[in-house]
Amino acid sequence: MTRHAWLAAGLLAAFTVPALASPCADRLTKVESLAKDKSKNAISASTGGQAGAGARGGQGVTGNSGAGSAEAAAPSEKSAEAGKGGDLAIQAKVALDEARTADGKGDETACMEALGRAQKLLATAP
Amino acid sequence: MIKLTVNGAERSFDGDPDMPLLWYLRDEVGLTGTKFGCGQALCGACTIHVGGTAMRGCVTPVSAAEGQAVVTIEGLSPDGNHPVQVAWRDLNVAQCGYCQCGQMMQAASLLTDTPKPTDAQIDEAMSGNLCRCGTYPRIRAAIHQAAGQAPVANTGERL
Amino acid sequence: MIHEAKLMAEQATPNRETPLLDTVPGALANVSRRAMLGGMGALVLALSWRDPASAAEKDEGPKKYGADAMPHGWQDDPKVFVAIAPDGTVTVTCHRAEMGQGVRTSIAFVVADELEANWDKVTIAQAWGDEARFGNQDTDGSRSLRHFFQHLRHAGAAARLMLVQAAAKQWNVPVSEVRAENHVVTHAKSKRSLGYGEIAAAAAELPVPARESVALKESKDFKYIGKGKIGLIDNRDITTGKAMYGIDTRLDGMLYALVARPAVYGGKVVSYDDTEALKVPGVVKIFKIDAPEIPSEFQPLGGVAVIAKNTWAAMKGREALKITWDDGPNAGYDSVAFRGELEKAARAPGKVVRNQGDVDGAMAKAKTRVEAEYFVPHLVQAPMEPPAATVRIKDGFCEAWACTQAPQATHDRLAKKLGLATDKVRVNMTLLGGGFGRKSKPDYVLEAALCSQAVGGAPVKLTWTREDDLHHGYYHTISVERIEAGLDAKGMPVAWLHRSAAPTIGSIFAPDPKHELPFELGMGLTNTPFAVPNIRLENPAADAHVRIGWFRSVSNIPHAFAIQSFVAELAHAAGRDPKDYLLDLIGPDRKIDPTSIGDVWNYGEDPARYPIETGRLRGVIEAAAKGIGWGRTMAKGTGLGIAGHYSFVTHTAVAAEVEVGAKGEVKVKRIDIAIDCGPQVNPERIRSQMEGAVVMGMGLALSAEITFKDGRAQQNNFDGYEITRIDAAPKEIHVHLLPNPNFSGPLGGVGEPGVPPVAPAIANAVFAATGRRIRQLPIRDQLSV
Repeated sequence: MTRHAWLAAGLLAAFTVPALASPCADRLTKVESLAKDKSKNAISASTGGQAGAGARGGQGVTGNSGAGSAEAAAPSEKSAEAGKGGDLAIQAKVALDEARTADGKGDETACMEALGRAQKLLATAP
Repeated sequence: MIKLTVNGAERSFDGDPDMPLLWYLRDEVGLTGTKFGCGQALCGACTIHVGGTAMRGCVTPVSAAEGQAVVTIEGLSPDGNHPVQVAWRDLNVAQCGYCQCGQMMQAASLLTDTPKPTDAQIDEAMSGNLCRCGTYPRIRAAIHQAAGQAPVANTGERL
Repeated sequence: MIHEAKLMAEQATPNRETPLLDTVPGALANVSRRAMLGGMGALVLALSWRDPASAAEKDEGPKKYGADAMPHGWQDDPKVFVAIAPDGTVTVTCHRAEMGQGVRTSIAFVVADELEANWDKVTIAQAWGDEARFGNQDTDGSRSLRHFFQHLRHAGAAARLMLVQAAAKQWNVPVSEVRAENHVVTHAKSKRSLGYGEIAAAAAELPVPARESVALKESKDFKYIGKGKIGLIDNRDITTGKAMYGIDTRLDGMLYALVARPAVYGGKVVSYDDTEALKVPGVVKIFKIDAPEIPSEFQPLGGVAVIAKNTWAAMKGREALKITWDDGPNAGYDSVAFRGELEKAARAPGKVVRNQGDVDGAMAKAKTRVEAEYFVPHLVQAPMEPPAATVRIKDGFCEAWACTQAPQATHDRLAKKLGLATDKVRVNMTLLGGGFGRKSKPDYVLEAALCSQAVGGAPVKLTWTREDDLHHGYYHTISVERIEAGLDAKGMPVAWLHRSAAPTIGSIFAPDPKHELPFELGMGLTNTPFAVPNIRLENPAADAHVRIGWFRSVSNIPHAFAIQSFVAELAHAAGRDPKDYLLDLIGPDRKIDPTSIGDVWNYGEDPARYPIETGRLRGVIEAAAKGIGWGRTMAKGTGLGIAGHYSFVTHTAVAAEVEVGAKGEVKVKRIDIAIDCGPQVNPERIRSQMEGAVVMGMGLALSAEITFKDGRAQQNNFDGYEITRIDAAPKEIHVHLLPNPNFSGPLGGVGEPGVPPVAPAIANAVFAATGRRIRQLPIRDQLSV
């Protein structure tokens, strides 16, 4: 394994990853801050108590409205968006972390693929 | 026509003699302190005193109380200051409070029979009274306090 | 700020004919009666609310979290929350549902403290459902004080300032020279003073001061907040049988109803014969409630309703019904078999929800591997007061009295169900005889409304029996958690793979969700805070065949049970002390940004303000361990176990001491539970919530489960669903509150976080006592073989 890869493999999830010298890694850092912002949007939109959270989540993740969802306390457009947003933010973060791991292994192709996946998800996330 | 007394007042009832005292007291007489929790004498929320004995109102028909004195939580004391009631307030025993009338009626009955109960006697006497909020440690402590005993183990928070 | 109680009521129920007291039972009536007798006539204030200036109403700006982001946000208008009668009685309005967490008491003394009111002169009035007026009222998620503490302080402080301003005006002196303290306003210089009651009318004429001009107390000046010395405001009513719960409502001409519901979720009535039922003396009417489409969200399940002159007659009438059912698509649901499906799902790759590092690579290179599967069955909340509600519809106005955790959702759905404008509905909040999540769903209130409608709007009290409650619940989900770790030479994990397979709460809202929603994942799965370099978390799909709902602490229960049990297994594999191992695994003290580990829930709170703090997690683990005497020599057949968990933005830990008898019976001898919830507004109630959480956690750990066969819940009552009784409760429950003097800082939740660590601590103690590992709940008689 390359020295870079050892470094990546040994880092704890909570610590910031120092910039590694690769084009994918450079773009990653920018996209990561967008992902974080989307995650925060999702947290913010996810409130609403049991009634609201469940209704929104239920609608959003699937894109469908269930029988009672029209009666959700929050406006339904916002609800669907919010639920979807959470799932998209999660998936985007997963893709970004996979990009990081690939970059750490020196696999530029896999890094760019995962980065592309993340960007696509983030483009649709509220 | 069934005649009985409830908290010292004479009553007569000409409805279904099989009606459990629980529903007679709550729906007919309007004393809602006696609570419904299970209807099968499994939870003790409906505990009342009939002829001086603690019973589950949900499985005791009105007919069984004919000629008897029924006492509910509302009649446990004239002023709400039965030692059990006082201890319950002093130790902030209740959380939601729904089971506590049954708990207090059962505890009052225990203390009548066993003025200085041990923990084991408390457990045995009170094990038919459920509390979903989990106030058991304070129930134990309150019974000891009402009995004038020194508290055993932890007592919750004294105010 | 003085309001005439009657005026307030009239505003809400313009068409009422009957006197206020008749239609507002319970605590509010008591207060109203007192307030009215106090001679309110001369002190009417036309209610002019300040603009709802809560941040939730503003346009998009910075992100909103916490109370700001809840529907209808928060209010801090003193005119909404504080009323002062001429005799000085202060009435604080509580907008949240009281279900044993002590919110009525806490809200009352928070306001009273900032108001500088004498506690002996303070009473509480319960709000009705009206979030536009009161702010969010959805009482769940361990939020009441966390969201409203500062805002209620403000309401009390603003009221105090208005009293000072009014007195200063009346005395023609500068405001700065007037003090309000302990129910009296004083101008020391001129030796003049007035009781609050005497100046309240004048204060009510003043505009509410600008928010920025109102100063809160220094915490060193608190009299009630943080002291833990306040008796429950409802103590006297509770101990004398006068406390009014949803099931206790009584109205003139009231009828009583029960509903026979389909035994299986998705079932419906094919036909019914009510001939015998109608012959039961007291039965008035029988009618069918249509089954909803499933998923049914909060809609009634349908069935046949029996309305009678008393509860007993309704019960007898229901027993006499002959109903033919179509059990519907879930008729084959067997929870034992379903466990097998979940296990299969957990043993195959699933939807990835967190993927840091290279788990597969690290796992392949690991020195040793440990894997385990954990099972938690369905649970049901079973509050001691079953769901019950009373509804009356008169002159096109619907009034409900309900033990509800969600009055606004109830209000909205009643309006929709009955086709009424929103201002033609009022939901009165009674006390709740327990909630635990069940009473957030207003299905039972809608049933009461349909019954009232069926008898021309007469008041009808709809009661659920215990059997109804167990058979037709919103169950805690059923789950299989599979965790696999690759360990290094020291026995520490370098790779961690956790698959969580469980039907989602989302399944009651929409037909498609097969995966845990972000908030379920965020309850103890995605925010696993361990210092492991390679972590992958997956959530395979799972179908739902029953209504799944919130049960106190929700998905934290299976997640914490699995993770904390597994950590103890790893400790054992490494030959190490479980507590030390757990702390090592948590790693150095640090603040973890939830978004950095893929958590997009964080209980709705700002990740910057509410990070996961491993130092605090360590603190509660160490406190619980120290309390129980971790490390002492244990007698044969006894053992200690420990677990620590972050939930509801609070850190909690439980240490358990168990004794296992010769026949495998498990006795919990002692529990130490430690909580770090930030500043403690009502330490006395925090203790009681922890004590109660321990007992509830014990029930699910040791003895209580709901199983399904042929689509039907198999347990009927408390004989089958065995929750903890007093003789099983530990003789000692020690609560350790980690101190935090900063009352300006963020509060953590209290109502739920005590529950998740209980079951794993007990299971780990059982292992320490016997060498036998518990991988499924409840423990029951697993050790007897």
